[in-house]
Amino acid sequence: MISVQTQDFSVAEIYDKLRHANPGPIGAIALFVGLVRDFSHTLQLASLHIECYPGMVERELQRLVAQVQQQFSDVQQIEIIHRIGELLPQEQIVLVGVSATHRAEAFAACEFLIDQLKTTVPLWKKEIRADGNEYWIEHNTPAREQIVC
Amino acid sequence: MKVLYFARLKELTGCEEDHFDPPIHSIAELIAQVRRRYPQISTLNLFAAVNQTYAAHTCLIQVTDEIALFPQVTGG
Repeated sequence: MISVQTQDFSVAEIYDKLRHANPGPIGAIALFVGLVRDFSHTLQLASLHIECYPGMVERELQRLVAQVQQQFSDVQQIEIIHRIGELLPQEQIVLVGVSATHRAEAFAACEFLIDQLKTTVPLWKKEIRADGNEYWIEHNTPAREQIVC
Repeated sequence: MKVLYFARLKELTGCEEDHFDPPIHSIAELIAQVRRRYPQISTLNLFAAVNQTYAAHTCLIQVTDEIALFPQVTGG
C-alpha cells in the first residue's frame, strides 16, 4: 500500500499491518522512518514545505513497489507513506516498511525503496527558516543525469 | 500546448500552468522555449514527464499529452 498524505502516521499501525496482513511466511520486518531535519545545520529551520506532482507521485511509487516485487522474491508486503504540506522539525516525513521471509531481503528492499524514492519520485522540499527566508533543497541525492534536459 | 510546472520552477516562472503555441515536436524544443521565455531559470536543471512518466529530451510530444517540467526531486 502506498499513501501520499498531509496527516501524520502511526509506525505501530503500519508494523501491525506488515506483521498480520500477509498470510505468507514472514520472518523479518524492516522499517525506515525519515524525520524533518535542519539541512542548513544552523538550527534555523522553522518548517519544511513538501510539494508533489499529484498523480505522478503515486504512479512512481507504484512503479517502485512493482520493481521490488520483481527483484526481491522474498518480499511479502510493502508499505510506503510520504507526507506533503507543512511539517515542523522532527516530524515524520516518510515511512518505508517491508516484510519478508528473511532479514537480508527485508533490509535490502527497504534500502532500495528509500534510495529510489529520493531520486525518482516527484516530491520537493523547501526550507522555511526562522528569519522568514525560504530555500528549495536541490541536492539531497545525485541527479539522474541521463534524463537532465 | 499546456505545460505544468512544479516546485522552484513554478516559483521562478510565477505560474503553475503555462501555454505554448504549437508546433513543438519534442521535450528539447519545449525546454528551449521555456528557457527563452524565462531567463531567470537559466541555472535550473529541468526534468520532464509526459503523461506522468519521465521523458528524455528526445521524447516526441503532442498537444494532447500531459506535459510537466520540474527540478531535481528531493523527497524522502
